[in-house]
Amino acid sequence: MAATPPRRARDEAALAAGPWCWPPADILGLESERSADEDNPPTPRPGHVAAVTVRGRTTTLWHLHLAPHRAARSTVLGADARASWRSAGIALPRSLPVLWRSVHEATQEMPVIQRLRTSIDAPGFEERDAVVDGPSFGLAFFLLLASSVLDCAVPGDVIASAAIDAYGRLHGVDGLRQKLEGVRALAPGVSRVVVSADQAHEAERHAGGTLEVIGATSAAEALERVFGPRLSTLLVDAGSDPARRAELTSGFFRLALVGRGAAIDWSPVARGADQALRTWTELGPDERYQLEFARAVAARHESNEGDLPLPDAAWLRGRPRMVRVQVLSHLVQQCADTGRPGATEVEALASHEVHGDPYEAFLPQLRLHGALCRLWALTGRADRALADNERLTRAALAVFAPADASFPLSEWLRLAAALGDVQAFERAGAAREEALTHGGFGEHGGPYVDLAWARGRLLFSADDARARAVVDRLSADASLPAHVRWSACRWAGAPQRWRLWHDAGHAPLARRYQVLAALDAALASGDTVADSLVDELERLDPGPVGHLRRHGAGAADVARLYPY
Amino acid sequence: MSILPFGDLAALGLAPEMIGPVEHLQLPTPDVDQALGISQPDVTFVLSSRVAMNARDAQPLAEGASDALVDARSDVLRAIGVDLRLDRAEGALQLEWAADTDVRVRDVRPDRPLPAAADGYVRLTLRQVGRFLVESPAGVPLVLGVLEDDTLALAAVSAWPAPPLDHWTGPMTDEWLQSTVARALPGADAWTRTALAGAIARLAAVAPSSHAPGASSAGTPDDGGAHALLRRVSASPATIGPRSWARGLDPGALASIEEHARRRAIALEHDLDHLLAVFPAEATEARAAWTRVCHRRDDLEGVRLLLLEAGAGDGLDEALRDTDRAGRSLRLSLNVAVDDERLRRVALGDPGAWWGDPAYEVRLL
Repeated sequence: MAATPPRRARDEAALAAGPWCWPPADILGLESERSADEDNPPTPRPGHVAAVTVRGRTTTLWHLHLAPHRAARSTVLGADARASWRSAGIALPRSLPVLWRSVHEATQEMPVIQRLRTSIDAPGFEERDAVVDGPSFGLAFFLLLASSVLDCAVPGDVIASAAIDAYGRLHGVDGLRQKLEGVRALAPGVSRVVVSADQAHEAERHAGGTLEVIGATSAAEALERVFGPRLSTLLVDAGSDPARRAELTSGFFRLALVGRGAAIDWSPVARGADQALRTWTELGPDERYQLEFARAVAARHESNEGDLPLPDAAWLRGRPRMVRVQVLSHLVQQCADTGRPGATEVEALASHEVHGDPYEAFLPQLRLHGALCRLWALTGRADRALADNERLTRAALAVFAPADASFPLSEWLRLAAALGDVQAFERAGAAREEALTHGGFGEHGGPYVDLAWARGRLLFSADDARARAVVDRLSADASLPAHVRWSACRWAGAPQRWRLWHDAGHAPLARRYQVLAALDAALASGDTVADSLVDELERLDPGPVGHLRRHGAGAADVARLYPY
Repeated sequence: MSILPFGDLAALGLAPEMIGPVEHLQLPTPDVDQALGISQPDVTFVLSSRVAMNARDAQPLAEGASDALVDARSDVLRAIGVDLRLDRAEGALQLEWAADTDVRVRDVRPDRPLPAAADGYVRLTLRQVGRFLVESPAGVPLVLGVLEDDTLALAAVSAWPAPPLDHWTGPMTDEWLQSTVARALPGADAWTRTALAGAIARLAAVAPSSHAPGASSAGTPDDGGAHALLRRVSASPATIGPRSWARGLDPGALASIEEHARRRAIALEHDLDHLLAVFPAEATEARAAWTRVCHRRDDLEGVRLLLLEAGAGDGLDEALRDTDRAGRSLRLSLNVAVDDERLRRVALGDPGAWWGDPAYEVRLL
């Protein structure tokens, strides 16, 4: 039997691996050639993706997949690539909150990576290391895992090139131009490329008109863009199985309980829970409330919206204490941020679970207390909120890790400055310094504390260069939650503040901070437009502003006490 | 720098002007495994048209084992339809080709006998210094390779007498063509000179002043182009000289030229197929990329004319059919404006040529 010539064998191997190396059917009359050959690209398979790397002048297209029992030969991954794989595994449940089957199982083995094709941009030999390393496989790993646990193939016209961290945030990669040129040269079947949002403009410059660039800030957003409505379909289908439905409902609820940091992008959670409520027809009361709870909390995290009814008293009593306390914390925060449920009813329920001595409280109880402080600050009791936040911070720093103190400390700093209490602000600043020497507040809490500290300093002295540098940095960090970035823009220098005007038209959250920045300017100049700006702010964010106004806050009070 | 001393070239029956620009490929440095002390076999060339061979035991490579082979890019080999790869573990180079660009490879060191041909592959073992010649199955020399130290040098071999371009350009009044030839001439090998001869035969004109170098974009299709076209049909020393030269070539030289041209046509077809996917987005780069492929096609057209003049060229015509199909398809998919006197003249002379300046083609069609 005649062996296949090596060049043809190599081409056939690349074509058999997936659809990426196949030319699009609509160019150069290839459609008719294909028909003649009775040969078509393989259908994309779950758990298989393509990715691209650059090493010197060499660009390589890879096939990444999960092979059972290490059946396939694989190139060895280096330390950075392994770290990316771990980050992708951690980020997946945060980004795809309720649909995973077993991320743990999927991440037990390193993925198999196999070389498909290379291109070399000048005469010479391919530059190849014994191991493949670097962070640029991150999003590809993530899509591979998502595809595997969802049993849903990544579309064959998609390739990803972005780094990922454990929070699911996407970051830029080196050599983007060469990578995109490599994709165009090596993978003609690929027509869409997902990159980090902060590299989207650069990518478009190098896309050559043949690649559609998808910029995403988070892995969750990338999932939405790549899988589209198929995620919703999977969710609807899952509801027909009672056991799976109960598992998913519980997953939604647990995720909502954990807090804002549990997911980078809450809009898929809100949409998923809403879709489950609309399409799962056999929900019991318990399942229904858990989904309503998840939908409302997700909407609050996303945009200070979401309607959360008070739970049935029996239902609440039936929860374990720590779950009950967490549910109440969310109810209080829901009240503070959206205005619903009513403050009186929520406080009545929550006050029973607040521990009188913060040093004796469990962490969820401290959080509930902190949530109440936030509500008090909006409902005419800012002094009490300031005093209690100081106590909560000191207790959290004494008993727990500094990261657990980030929320009450942020509020301590913010309220001290808003109320003009210099001594309280200095004490808070000292507590911050001390906590920083003990390990800091972590990636999630750190930006909140930094923002509260910097805006407080700027309220006391608008010329504080150190504080200005902090808000400038925060305003430019695309990996931070949007409300942190936009709030930082409000306090930042003119170039950063200009972004609010630039983006307000298409980013509703930016519009809020644009109005706040305009309000600051109006108050500084004594412009009478301030009241109408507060009206506009209340229209945009009725929860907090409504609380403040109902409790007698004027325009200047709203500007000082607006919570973000 | 020559790929070999003149004396060594002469011993191979080659003149310096038959050797094209030399391409140097630095062999990769040893990887971690090698640093750990795995012994290396003698450096070996594995040359195969049918199977990928393991250099050490001459067994076909297992499926998937091709990952051990490192790709290489050699524009010199690619121009004749041959791929180059390296098996680092075995210390072997592997040349691969498709059926329509079949080659044979022979060791050209004087103290080495020609290797025995096996079924589908040939193996040459080279120690320290290696020289090899890639030829067509009919024995037309195509590429000379020299492995010295850690560098592989490759050069196209155009083994026919170079045309006397100086004799034809001296009396020419076409300033553009004169300067074009003058720029390309230093160090040009026989292939380049032959392509230039074809260009002189096809594109020479008594150019009006508006078509002086650098002024081509100022003119319009009607303000002299048609006159130039009419004048070009008249015989002149420039148009007659290359044709006469071609008619005087012996069959071996004609076969060599045609074999080179045929392979370059096939390589151009592959590059055209590839170009749509990788076509630059930026206008200047796009124009440059398109102009490059158009010039390559026009080189072939010039050579084709000379071959036809000598009663040869059927093989080239056959290869160009696929090339031109790819070129026309690509042309229809792209909208690239060029600013190139050569392509303007192409369009004036042959309005149907896909590689001509689109602006002039439209007017004349």
